[in-house]
Amino acid sequence: MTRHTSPFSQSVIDQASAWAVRLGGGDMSEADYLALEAWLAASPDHPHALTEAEQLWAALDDDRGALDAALTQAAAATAPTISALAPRKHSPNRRWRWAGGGLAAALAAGLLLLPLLSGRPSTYVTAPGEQKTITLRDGSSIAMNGGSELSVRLSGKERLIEMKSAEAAFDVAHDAQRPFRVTVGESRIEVLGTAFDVRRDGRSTTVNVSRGVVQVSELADPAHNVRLTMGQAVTLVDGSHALEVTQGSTETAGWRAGRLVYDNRPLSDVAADLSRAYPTPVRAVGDAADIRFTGTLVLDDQASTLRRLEAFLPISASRADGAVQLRSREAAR
Amino acid sequence: MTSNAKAELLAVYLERRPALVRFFATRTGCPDRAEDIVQDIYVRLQALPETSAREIANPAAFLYRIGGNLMLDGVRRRQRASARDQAWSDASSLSSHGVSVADSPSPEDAAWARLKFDRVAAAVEELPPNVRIALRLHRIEGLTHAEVAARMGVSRSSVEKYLSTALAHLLKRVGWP
Repeated sequence: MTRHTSPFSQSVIDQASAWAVRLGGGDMSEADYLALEAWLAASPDHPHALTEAEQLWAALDDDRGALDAALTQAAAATAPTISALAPRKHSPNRRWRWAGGGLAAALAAGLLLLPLLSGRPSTYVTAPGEQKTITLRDGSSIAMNGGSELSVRLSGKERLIEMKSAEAAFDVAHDAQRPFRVTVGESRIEVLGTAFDVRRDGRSTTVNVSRGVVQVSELADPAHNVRLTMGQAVTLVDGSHALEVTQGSTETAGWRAGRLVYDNRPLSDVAADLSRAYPTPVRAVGDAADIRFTGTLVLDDQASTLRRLEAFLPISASRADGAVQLRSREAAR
Repeated sequence: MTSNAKAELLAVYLERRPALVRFFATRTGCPDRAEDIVQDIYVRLQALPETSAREIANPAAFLYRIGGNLMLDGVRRRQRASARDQAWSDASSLSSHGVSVADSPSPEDAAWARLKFDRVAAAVEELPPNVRIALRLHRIEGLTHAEVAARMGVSRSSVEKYLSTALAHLLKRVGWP
């Protein structure tokens, strides 16, 4: 393991950091890239410094728990008001306080990027309307849709993900030594290196594979399983043993591309999707729940999306009790 | 109807190809790797669905960005492989004919990890409050630069300044990864 301090001057560190941050922000123009090229060519130190800066920046994502703990500790040591600016559902502060030194070591080890570290689970939560992508130490990434919660545990033998009510798209780094397992509802999904989308709603689970091969089995009976390849999907309803493979989509899951595609789906499903996509929950009330919708919804802002839905279907949207209610226009009359 | 956003993107690629190779050769210091990266960009473009191609606002910048991601992926993959090789040799007493995998760090690594965590904590404590808030919102809460700016009521360039201050300080105090 290399352990060294920076061989670069302060100004090179500052410039490399500024570029790494801008690159991470993802809104560089072509002119910015040309300016970056000029900077890189100006000194043989520059390309190295930038790569190191980018790597440290990315490494902070590999164990957010450690950075979170460090920030929390710093906030407690200096100003008690800082944490109030950053409300979060799952505060690790509590765990941090009582777990003490052992956990500190574990968190710190994670920050070091030891790839074979036996993992403590990390929990990730998104608020409704919030999407985020997490990158795991093994190089896999998970894009989480709004209103989702999942926990991740990496060990030398396997990579375990536990999903609660959630929708997430997985892009799994190939590692034949460590199977990547997702448990969700009553099923287990096992992969080696592939990309797929899982969604858990109430009592059913849908898996849609966009690359590679995925095996889906019942938790209680691993022998009962199906193998899905690219473009296939399966939906499992809790309590039912049916594993019926259907034609899925090979495109990126719609919610990641900012749109939702439906083929003859009840409005209740559409409402559930919109509740994940925006902060204000959406409910289909009464008869409206069974109205069928076929088409594509572009997710820009909630009001526009609802207006388009109203134009498509015989429904009207109104706000009540902190939620948007979709009613059939017949019933409203 | 513009059903050929992807064709346009490929045209932009062909036009920018020499510039992309030059850029990545400068970035990686290796012309062969640059060729590979730029070729992989092409593979990614071909796999892109038309609907996604249509949503790309700035095609040239998009090409650079894909290449940057491919490059970073490659670096991290190699690091994982070498760390794995390291673990194999560290765990030699456990492995026979290379079939066992160590799943815990050596005591020495754990001690270094603790030291490193203490350094991260100390470095973070030295940062100004605004910088710490920006760092938390961006790296922990996962907000974009624009969202952090909106939340803190400052400009985007201030946010980028805060974040690069944090990164530079961590690089200096914690050491290079």
